[in-house]
Amino acid sequence: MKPLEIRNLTIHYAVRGKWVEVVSGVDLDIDEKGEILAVVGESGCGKTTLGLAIAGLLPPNAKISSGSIKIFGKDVRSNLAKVAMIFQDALASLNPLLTIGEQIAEVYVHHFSMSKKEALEEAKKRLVEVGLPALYIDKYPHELSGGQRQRVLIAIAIAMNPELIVADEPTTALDVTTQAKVLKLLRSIVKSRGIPMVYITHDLALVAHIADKVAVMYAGQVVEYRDKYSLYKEPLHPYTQALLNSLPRVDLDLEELKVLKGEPPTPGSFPRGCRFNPRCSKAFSKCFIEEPPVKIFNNGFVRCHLYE
Amino acid sequence: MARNIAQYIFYRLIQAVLSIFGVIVVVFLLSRVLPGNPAIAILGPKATPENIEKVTREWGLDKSYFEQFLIYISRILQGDLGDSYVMGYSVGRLIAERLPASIELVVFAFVLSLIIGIPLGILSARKHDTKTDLILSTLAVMGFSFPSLLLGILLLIFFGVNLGLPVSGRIDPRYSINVYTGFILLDTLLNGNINAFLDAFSRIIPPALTLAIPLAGLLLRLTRNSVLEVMMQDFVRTAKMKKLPENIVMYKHILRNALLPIITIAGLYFAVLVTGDIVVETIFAWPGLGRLIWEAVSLRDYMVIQGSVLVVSIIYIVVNTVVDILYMYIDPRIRG
Amino acid sequence: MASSRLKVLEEVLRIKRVRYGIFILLSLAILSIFVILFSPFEYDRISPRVHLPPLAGSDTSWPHILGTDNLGRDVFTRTFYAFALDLGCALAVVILSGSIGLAIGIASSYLGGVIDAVLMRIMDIVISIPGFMLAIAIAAVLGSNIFNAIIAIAIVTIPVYARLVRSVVLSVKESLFVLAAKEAGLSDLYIVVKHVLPHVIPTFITQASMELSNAIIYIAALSFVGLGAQEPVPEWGLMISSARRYVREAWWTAVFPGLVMFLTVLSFNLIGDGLRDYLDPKKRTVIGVQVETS
Repeated sequence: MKPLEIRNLTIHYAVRGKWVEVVSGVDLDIDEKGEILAVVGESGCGKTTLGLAIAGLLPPNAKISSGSIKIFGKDVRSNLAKVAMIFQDALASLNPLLTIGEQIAEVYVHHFSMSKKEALEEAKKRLVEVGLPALYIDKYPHELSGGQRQRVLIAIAIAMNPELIVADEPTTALDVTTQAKVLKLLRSIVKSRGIPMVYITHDLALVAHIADKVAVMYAGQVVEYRDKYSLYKEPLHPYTQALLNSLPRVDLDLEELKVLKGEPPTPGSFPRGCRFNPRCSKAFSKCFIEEPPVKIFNNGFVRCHLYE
Repeated sequence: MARNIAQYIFYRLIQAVLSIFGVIVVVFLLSRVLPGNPAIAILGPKATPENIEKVTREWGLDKSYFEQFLIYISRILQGDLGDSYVMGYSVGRLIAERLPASIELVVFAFVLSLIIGIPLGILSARKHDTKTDLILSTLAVMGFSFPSLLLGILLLIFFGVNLGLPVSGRIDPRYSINVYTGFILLDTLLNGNINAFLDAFSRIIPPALTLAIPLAGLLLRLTRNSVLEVMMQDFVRTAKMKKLPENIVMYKHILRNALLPIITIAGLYFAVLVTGDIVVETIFAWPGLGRLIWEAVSLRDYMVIQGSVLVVSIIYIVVNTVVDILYMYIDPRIRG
Repeated sequence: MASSRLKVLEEVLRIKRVRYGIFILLSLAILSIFVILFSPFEYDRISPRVHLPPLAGSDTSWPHILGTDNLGRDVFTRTFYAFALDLGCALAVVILSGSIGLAIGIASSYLGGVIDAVLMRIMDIVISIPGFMLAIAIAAVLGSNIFNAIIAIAIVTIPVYARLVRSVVLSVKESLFVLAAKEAGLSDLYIVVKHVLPHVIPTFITQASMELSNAIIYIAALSFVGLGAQEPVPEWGLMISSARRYVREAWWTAVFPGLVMFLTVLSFNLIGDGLRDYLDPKKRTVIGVQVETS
């Protein structure tokens, strides 16, 4: 059974009394344990909502209107799957009144029926595993640096012994050096324990360091899904191409950055036809009328009229 | 880290001392602002020429204000609040006699308000934006708007007339109880006299309820808002992510954080209780400090009024200081 | 400018709580005006028809709607005269303490330095005495009548306004447009009035509405204890105090004044509440009655 199987997933949010479509017909897979799937996109493309849905943490004002998410064959809504999530704002995600030791040990006490003492011992081991000194057990969240707090979140995630991990921009708020360290740590843990991971980010450059497969999201849809090398070598979707083009390059002599103009559409007011058509340099007549079909390759798919 | 706490406690204590000093100054100034001879005001109906002379000497009323203040504060520091010529005892003794009754009532009322207000506030937060929430919130505002004047009368009528229960005094004077603590509820139990305990209990309920209801209304609201605010915070989502049992999420994560800010305004609760206490003690003939003040006002006994204001203020300052220091221990963010 | 103010008023009136509050207040006010203009009984008209129950007949064409008190005076008339009196006194308190508090707050925060330190120290000392106690002490010193009660309560409430105003001014003082105005050479007074005050006013008004209900309670409480209004002035606290002895035989003499007082206080609390929600619907402080979220 596949670690992650998402079929035709559509999610709506209730906004001022109306249902707004935020994620539209998403199909995604993770095929093997230990595989890292990156979900990339601008703010508002629905990637965080997708992440929350996979983790079973959608807020009460959101609903999965159609489709399914299965973790090793188990539907997420049945609450049988164990999914851990690592959040972006580590300081806000930790209880300010409890020591980090307690917050890690909690998992062991309630899921593995350990005594508090045993749980704390395990917690110490997790701390060491994420690169923190064992004596940090007694520290409070506000006493740690941003990078250290992020490691604590990782420790909590692995303490749960999850079947899958969702990481929602865990390094965005960190400085570049710390970013690299945390990223490296996350990757090594996930690989060594064979836990599949969905890594959500807006940073396409970062994805290269961590992902095995990449899914590019735009306006609630997956527009391209490839393995990492194929994506970077030969991006198919105009949006992916534009994103890659806008990355600063040290090796090329560029006069200016090719920034993608415009803004993504707000949910609820998607344009007719392909949702990317206002900003697409390669759009033609069909793009404004019909929604593009999904064209499947042997190493992924792309959602674009250019490849019909 | 230890030095930080010690420094803070030290600073806070200095603040408290300065505040107490300030209060003494204010109370002193007030007493000397009286038009006319302060001695006459102090003595009231007992203002004979000999007494006037005596009081003038006692308090240095013929000397400069500064010297008067020195006399005043040196007596205060020795615990001497002066003598009430009107009532015939030393002010200190009068207050000491009445204080336990007030403390018992106020503490009982406070605990009552906690029991009523906080759980209902939590309920209201859990069911927010539903009918339950609306009803509870409305009740809270109404409760808080009830002046103790009206509420006291209503409860007096309800308990006294409708239910026929005794509503004045702390206990039926026919019981003889050995006094151990000065708190009748405890003393009756310590005496092993269950009937007396029940009697005292039935007499404390109406005045305590009168004090407790407005405070409970306030607590309901504060708790509700605090819990709601905490519920929306990210670490609650983390707790849910960990798939912890519901009651753990509620008590360990939500409530602990939500109730914290409510503690910080304990001083406010005290002020609310004090304001209501005088009226309540008068309505229910409760022999405490509030009633003493009422008696002092009707007898124009300024010494007692002055002493009572001083004592209550000092207690207020102490309570606030203790709460502040305690809070430091509870919130690790301030400690570190 | 005028239209934006109207707009604000419109939005505020849309809030349910404010509506209920205003409705109750207006109803009571109308009753009060009606009573003062048309009641066949003077508020101090003593008669031998003592302790008559509500709706008892009288020697005029009107019944005693709420009965008579221990001196044969009509309770309905007195209760609603008291409405006018208590409200008037509460307004006096708020205006007095509000204006002085405003002045102190602005002076203290704007001038800063030693003045600020000294003024705030004094405010702190006043606040460290429980309000009601201080009011009693001051009223006892000044003498027992309603004017002194007003002064006493006003003195006690000044620090509340002073601190509030000061904190708002401090937060605005360092903001860009004030500094810009200073650079442009505008006089301090002008800056204060045009730039700083608009920020102070909303919070100030909300606080004042809560303080109105507080003031009513204090006035009644002081009078109840014997330090405020004296007979035969119709004042709720005084009425309840006199009625206390006869609660068993004539409960209406104490309950109705209290009830109308409760409704008045409730209406001010509702209005203040609604105002506060409107001004800071997302304000996340929980401290006190002053600032809360919903």
